[in-house]
Amino acid sequence: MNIKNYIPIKEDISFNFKPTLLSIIIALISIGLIGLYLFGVVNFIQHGHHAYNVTREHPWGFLVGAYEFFVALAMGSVVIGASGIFYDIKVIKPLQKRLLIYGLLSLFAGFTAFLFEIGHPVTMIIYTAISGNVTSALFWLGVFYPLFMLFTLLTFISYTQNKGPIKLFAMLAIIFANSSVLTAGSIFGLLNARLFSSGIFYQIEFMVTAILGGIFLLTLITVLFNREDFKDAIIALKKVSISLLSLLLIMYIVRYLVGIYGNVPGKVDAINYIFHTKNFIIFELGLGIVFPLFVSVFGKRNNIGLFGIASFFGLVGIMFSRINLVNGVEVIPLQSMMTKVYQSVPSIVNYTPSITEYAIGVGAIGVFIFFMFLAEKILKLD
Amino acid sequence: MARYGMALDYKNCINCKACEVACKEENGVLLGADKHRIWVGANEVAGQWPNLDIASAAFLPSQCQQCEDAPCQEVCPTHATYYDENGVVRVDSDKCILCTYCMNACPYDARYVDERTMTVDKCTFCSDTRLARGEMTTACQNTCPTKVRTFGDLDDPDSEISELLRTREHFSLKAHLGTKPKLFYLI
Repeated sequence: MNIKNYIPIKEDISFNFKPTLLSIIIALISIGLIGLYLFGVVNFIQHGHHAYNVTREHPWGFLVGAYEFFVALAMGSVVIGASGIFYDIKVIKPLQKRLLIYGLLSLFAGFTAFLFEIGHPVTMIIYTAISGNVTSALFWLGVFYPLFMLFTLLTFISYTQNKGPIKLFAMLAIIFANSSVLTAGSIFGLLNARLFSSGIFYQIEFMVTAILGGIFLLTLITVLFNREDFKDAIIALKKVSISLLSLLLIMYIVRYLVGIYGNVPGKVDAINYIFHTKNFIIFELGLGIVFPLFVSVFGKRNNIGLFGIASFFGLVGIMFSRINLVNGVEVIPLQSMMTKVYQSVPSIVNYTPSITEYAIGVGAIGVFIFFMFLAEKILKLD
Repeated sequence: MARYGMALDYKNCINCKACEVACKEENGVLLGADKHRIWVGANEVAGQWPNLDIASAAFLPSQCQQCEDAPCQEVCPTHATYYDENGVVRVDSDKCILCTYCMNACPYDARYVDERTMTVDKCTFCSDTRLARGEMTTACQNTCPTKVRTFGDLDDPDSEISELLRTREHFSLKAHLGTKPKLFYLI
């Protein structure tokens, strides 16, 4: 069996790149981020979870947020790419292969962060398979991810080979991408004890931001590499982003109002706290939603450059939305009484990620860029 | 086969913390304020010196509530958290992947990471120690000088705990979450 019969591998693989100012800057940033990632990994190997600032009261930290960020990019990219195939959306055609491959690579990049969050990843693979608990959302992620990866890969192969049930594969890739992202949202939504996230808000928010993440990622690539052939697709996707960003903004406004006027103890405190942090106001709301929406609505239709800048900040906003989610879930202590001598009754659980957590979580972006670089050099994606 | 539970006459608690010490000693829980299976919650005394409201100081001994519908068990992806034959919620450390999902799901903050095994641990009603040796009391109950705790089989109508729950009013913590705790606070 020759792999080239199935995967479109380039005949002459070369890792050279044109030394333009932009490409050199991107390369240097990527190398720096990968170095940061390796620093974090080495720190983790030396000190284990002690290298993190997670505590009994705040057991999930920055890495869970980083992982959920990559999951959003993965699912969004594949949903857009596979929808283009399934619904024959001509304008997306030049992007389809990239969307599918980037989706897979983003998930792998997410795993590089998640690998160091989970204490026993090998045990996870073994016992999720032989002793899975069907009432656990985390178990269902273990079911949906392999199916998502399988059907995304099959869609990619059958699409490039132009044979096989392409539309069936694309439909299944869409279904399992949505299932995965809904389940990822459910991990937080099903935490009845954590009123900040319990309910259906985050399932919907994850789906919306996933697709936005896919659009932002593609726009950024189109702008950075000046891909004229992608511009029509980006102009079309820009319109989609207006609807999604507007929806997201409305969702947040309603969430805030319901949270404040509902005045449910535990929930109102968390919403009040998170919605008044700089991380939320500046990054998640301002740069992540309002600025891209403003640019999409008021920017010139063909001005992809400005939308590229908005897309960069949009991605930053999505990253912060995940961090704020993880923090909001755990910011209110579940015990309301003093439990340690000389400790006053806690009102807020403070958490600041450690250097190691930042290094692995942010460094995973460099790993993702490296994966994309390899894909561009090895695979025929045009 | 039993259905173990515990009744707490919490107003008798004097916050001596003997239960915390006994639990650590009996079950080999590591030292450190963050590593505890049981704890005593304390309300600070209200007011300012010298006008202190001594009556405002209240102690609430607590631990894993041994829920019948335990959220920690529901979210565990590998069945590492399970109900044993006596209805006690326990952790199989071989299966625990340290995802800490259970720590987030537990409404009572009753779980912590055991740094020897790097798995999540919790109160087991001394199932691995005292109950395994055939004793019928938990370490915290046995050591309590004011008899706050009464441990026993909820299915046995003649047990002391069943008698207490029949004759005394009681409440459960965060009962609105539907977790059906088997720890009962006597009024």
